[in-house]
Amino acid sequence: MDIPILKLSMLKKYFPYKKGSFVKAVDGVSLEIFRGETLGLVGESGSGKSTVAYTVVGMYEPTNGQILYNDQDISSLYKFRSNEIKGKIRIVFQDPNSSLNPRRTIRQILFTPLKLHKNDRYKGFPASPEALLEEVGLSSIYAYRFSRSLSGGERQLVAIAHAIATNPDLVLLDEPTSALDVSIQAKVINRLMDLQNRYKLSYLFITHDLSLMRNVAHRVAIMYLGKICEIAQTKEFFEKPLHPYTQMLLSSIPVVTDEEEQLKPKKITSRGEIPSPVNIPPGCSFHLRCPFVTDQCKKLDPDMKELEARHYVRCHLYK
Amino acid sequence: MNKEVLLEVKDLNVYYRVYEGLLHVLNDVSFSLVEGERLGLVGETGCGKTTTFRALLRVLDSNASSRGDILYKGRNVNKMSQTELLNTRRTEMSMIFQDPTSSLNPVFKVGEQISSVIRANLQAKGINYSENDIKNIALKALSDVLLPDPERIFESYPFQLSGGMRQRICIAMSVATERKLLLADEPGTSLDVTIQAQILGLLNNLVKTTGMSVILATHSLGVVRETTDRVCIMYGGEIVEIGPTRSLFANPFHPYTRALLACVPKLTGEGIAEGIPGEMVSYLNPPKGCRFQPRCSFCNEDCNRTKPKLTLYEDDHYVACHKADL
Repeated sequence: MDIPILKLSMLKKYFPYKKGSFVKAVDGVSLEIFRGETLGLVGESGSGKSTVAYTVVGMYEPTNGQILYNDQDISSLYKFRSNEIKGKIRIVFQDPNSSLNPRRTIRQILFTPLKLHKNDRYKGFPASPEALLEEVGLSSIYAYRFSRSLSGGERQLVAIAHAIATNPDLVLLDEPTSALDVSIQAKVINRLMDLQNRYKLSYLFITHDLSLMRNVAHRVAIMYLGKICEIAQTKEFFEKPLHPYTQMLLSSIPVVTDEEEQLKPKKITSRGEIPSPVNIPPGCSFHLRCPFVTDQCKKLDPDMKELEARHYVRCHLYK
Repeated sequence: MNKEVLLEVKDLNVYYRVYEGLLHVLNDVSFSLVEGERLGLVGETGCGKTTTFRALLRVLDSNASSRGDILYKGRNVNKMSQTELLNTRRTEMSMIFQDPTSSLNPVFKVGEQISSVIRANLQAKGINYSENDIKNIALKALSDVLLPDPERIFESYPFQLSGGMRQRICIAMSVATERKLLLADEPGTSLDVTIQAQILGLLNNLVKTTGMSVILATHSLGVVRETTDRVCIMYGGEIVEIGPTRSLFANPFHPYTRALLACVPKLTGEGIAEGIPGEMVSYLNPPKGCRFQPRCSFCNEDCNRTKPKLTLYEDDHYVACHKADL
């Protein structure tokens, strides 16, 4: 198998909190993303999924662990990274209102990455802000407008154009559509899929929407309190969810058709709430909400096990 | 149906006066609600869900004007006197908001906030009470909404509690005062799916046990399908389709409903539709005929000229479209 574009091994990010305690936002995450692949990273708020993205892109320095880009260690802050790496790993944020500068025209916004990463582009890649806009399906007349005169979906497309301007390998999508209506979300997602096919982009798609991941991701990872509970190929993940938390999430999704209703696992009633990442419960971090809890779960944190081909789960129920 | 009609809205129109001109937001909205019914109000951002709620409670902004009849138990909310209106708000209707963080006052303890609601309610009903009674009612309501350790929650400030717990407190306020009608404005949207499922399950149980009626406004089609008896689909300040939840989801007629359903990502993994072309209607200068017509792929000149009326298609299932039978 070829080298993954991005490999995280035991990535940890702790933030200092009161009196020597830490917020363990990311607590040992290992995953791989290959070229042209979409990995969906799903979890509730507070599970640390955004922190993973921010650490990968260099906004935070990892407390421990490694970030490998094409087998090259890049576990440093953004400002210490080479220009090439900066252009190869890009991020799209959740809220396009705050990620686009309101005082610059769309053309100025898109021109900056083009100027800074001039040498990294190859022939056939859009080289002007106007071409970039057309690439994401917007009219080039938007170039001379300000972001405030665009709708939410259009702003997010500009943010995507900004991210792909440097011809990246990996784009981190941090809940790119959760602020949008479904009809707009559909447009943005379809554009993202087009771009992936055309430029062999890899996506780390961070979201809390599992039904969206069923249609978009090649593989799905579930995160809970800074750790990954389960990773599998999308089809297998939805047909045979193993971890009780995955089953709880899947059974909580509100669906719109009867066919979908049958695909949901048998109702595991959702109970409890995600604990604070300052006091992570001992043993398996999910044991307080798990319906199948045993004494072992309260003491021992389970290891990641490969149960079937490329289907990993971290739970004592499976030996 | 022999249940009593609790709320009847007839030809409700709401206008907002703004710098650019007059926004005609709600356009002839009509629906009714019987006791113990759960009605869903679905549509995208800016389709008038929250405006409808505000009009029902008569808490619209000062630049708004509302026309039409809102009959609550036969009395017209739009024609009530101030005291009558206040009494209705204190004893009959209540509303829970999307964002539980901003609907509780951060500088008062949860207990004080619930107590003040109960106190106002008891005063409006003209019942004698002691402070101890109020606390007991509040504690009972907190345990009714399945909050663990009501005594501790009673003494907490909102910031010490999670989003799900705060939303439960908002619900507890209407449970404690035995409201007949609960207007829930996107109660689960800012919460995680597992917590949202808990809150919606709680609402469902309350409807069963207390017999209150709920109008649930949301943009999530999945949520309404799982929690309501009847659904209104709203687009651009109009109700375009209204019918029993089951039959509406199994057999949607209006092109907008169909397009919206196609955009929702499904668990079956069949891919996502292209989305609906065009933009949300401008209220400043809405199209003369059907408001969805500029984005509709089935429209003809009829749609351009005349506004379609809600017509009966199946049992209790009304659609406002000239071309719905296609």
